[in-house]
Amino acid sequence: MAVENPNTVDTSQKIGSLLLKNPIITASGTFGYTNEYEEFMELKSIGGIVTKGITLNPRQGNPQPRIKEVHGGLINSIGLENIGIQAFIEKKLPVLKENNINFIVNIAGESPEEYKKIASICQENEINAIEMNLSCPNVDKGCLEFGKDEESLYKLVLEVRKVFRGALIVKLGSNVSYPEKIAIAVQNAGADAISAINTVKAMHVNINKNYKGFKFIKGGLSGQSIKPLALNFIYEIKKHTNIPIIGMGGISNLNDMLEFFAVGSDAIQIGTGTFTHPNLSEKLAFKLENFMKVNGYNNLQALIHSLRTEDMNKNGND
Amino acid sequence: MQNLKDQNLIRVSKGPFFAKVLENREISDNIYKLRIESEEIAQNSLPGQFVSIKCADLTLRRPFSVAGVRENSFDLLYKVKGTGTEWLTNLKTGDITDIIGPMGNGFSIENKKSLLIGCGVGIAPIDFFMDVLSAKSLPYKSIGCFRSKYKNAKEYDYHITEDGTSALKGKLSDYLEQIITETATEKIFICGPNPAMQYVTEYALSLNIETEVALEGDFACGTGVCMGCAIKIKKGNALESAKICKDGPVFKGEEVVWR
Ligand SMILES: Cc1cc2nc3c(=O)[nH]c(=O)nc-3n(C[C@H](O)[C@H](O)[C@H](O)COP(=O)(O)OP(=O)(O)OC[C@H]3O[C@@H](n4cnc5c(N)ncnc54)[C@H](O)[C@@H]3O)c2cc1C
Ligand SMILES: Cc1cc2nc3c(=O)[nH]c(=O)nc-3n(C[C@H](O)[C@H](O)[C@H](O)COP(=O)(O)O)c2cc1C
Ligand code: FES
Repeated sequence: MAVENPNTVDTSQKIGSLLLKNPIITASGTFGYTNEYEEFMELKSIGGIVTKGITLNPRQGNPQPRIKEVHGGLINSIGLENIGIQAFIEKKLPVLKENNINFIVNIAGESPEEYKKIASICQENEINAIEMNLSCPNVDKGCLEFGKDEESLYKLVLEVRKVFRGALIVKLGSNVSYPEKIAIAVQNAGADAISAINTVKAMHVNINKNYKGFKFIKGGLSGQSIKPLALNFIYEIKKHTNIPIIGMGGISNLNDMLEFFAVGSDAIQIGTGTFTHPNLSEKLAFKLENFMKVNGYNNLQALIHSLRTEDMNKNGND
Repeated sequence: MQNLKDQNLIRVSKGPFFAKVLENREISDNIYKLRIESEEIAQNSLPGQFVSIKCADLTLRRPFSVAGVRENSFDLLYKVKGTGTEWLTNLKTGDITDIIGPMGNGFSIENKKSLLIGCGVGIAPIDFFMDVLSAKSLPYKSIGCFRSKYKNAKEYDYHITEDGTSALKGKLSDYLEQIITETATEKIFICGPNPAMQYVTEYALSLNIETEVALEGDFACGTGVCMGCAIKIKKGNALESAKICKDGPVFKGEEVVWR
């Protein structure tokens, strides 16, 4: 690979109309609404942030306990507690703008109408990018249900596409039978990108001391333990789609990130990794740039292309 | 510098700090004292605030109250509970820890006849609070309640043990009324197991004495973004959502909905 100027590499990436300084974004629900992580890192060092999932009306969320750490990750049952779109527009949007943060608003609805309404409000407020959460495992109504069957999903995304002109990202989860059908539906409906994966339905069990009965917590699993699932999901949907994919699921170091690029991601998100290392996304941005310099990739496309060139479809170990 | 900080003109970093272990030893049954070098944390911490430590290869950091500070180091008191705290016991002088903090809000520092109560390892923020009030010459008395005599260096005005290895044998509830009267308490600050905090808060409320409690919870982010630790607190007649890690861990006793 020829290097023109080894001191400058172009890490930028484009997702629909959304320009990213680099392909590293922080994931919904793990980074707050705005500049909460300013105390730990330089927010401008990363491509962007995704806000906590926002619904039409404020949501109380699920009762405690909401968190259970398990081997290689955690199960959460937050239940989309959030301030609602009005409060977001009034209180958080100005902060995002003042601080010049590149952001994507994650939205969730209990019905197709709600998704459409929130998306229109985002459009009216000139928000550049939204991520439709069609895969939250922690709420009774909506969300995951729409993300499961390709026909209702297609209709829903199509409706939202009609009212939202910015970058439209649709977030999918692995709790589905035919990932490729779902992904194709999203693409056909006119989404600009797919992001995946959301947390995976999971359960933690605690057997009572006298072996009579047990306690449990159900929720969505995230963190390192879901990385293999995420990689497979992205690899499978990549075969059938050509819109950008934003990959996530357990990314905690540079190599994880490269694996996600290799199987088909054009950008990545960091979720649970931020809990372990609050400045992980900043560190990875730095490491990626450095890696590209050292290995002579002068732009991100070159690196991604290289990672995908050989053995794309080979089975096997090292 | 100090001035810019006060005016919020410069960003005060909360880490991660890679900080050196100065001391780590068992000071009482299963309770360890960990002293860590960090000027930032030592200078910026208030009693009731906590730090979060990266332990072994665990996904989630573990939160611990700051138990005391000096110029450029701070102390933690930790009780061995599971994987994370077990791992902490192996830290040796000179080892480097990965720490963020100080996080959350501490106790109010006021000129009131205060009664500081720490139960079990809940004594950690109380020890620090005692130092701060003493340094400011503010009036307070302290109670330490333990299962068995607690061999920390601190002297509590009332040292209660269940097994009677200290002067006062029994439980907090056996002595609370008498101590409050004796010390003409105006405000109570407590950290300990929930039932103890609930008992004290309700009793104090019946006497019209204000309380502040330091709560614990299961944290994921520990920084206020994930809503993992959210609880309901009473604000007037309404219930509001509050994050233990960010809005607390110290709350007004009367605001807490005890479960
Ligand atoms: C703000 C704050 C301040 C704190 N300050 C201190 C302090 O100063 N000193 C101190 O010693 N501790 C303090 N703690 C508690 C401390 O954080 C925990 O004891 C520690 O995280 C335990 O980690 P571990 O990995 O050792 O145990 P883990 O392996 O995480 O679990 C500890 C034990 O509790 C059990 N357990 C875990 N989760 C639950 C649950 N949800 N319900 C019931 N049982 C459960 C486990 O089975 C295990 O036996 C504080 C906590 C908070 C939130
Ligand atoms: C505590 C928590 C809250 C989350 N909240 C949301 C949410 O509101 N909307 C959403 O689309 N995804 C949410 N997610 C999912 C993450 O954005 C991400 O898809 C998932 O955690 C996998 O990535 P990770 O392994 O890097 O965490 C949440 C995850 C966690 C751990
Ligand atoms: S632990 Fe995440 S908000 Fe408190």
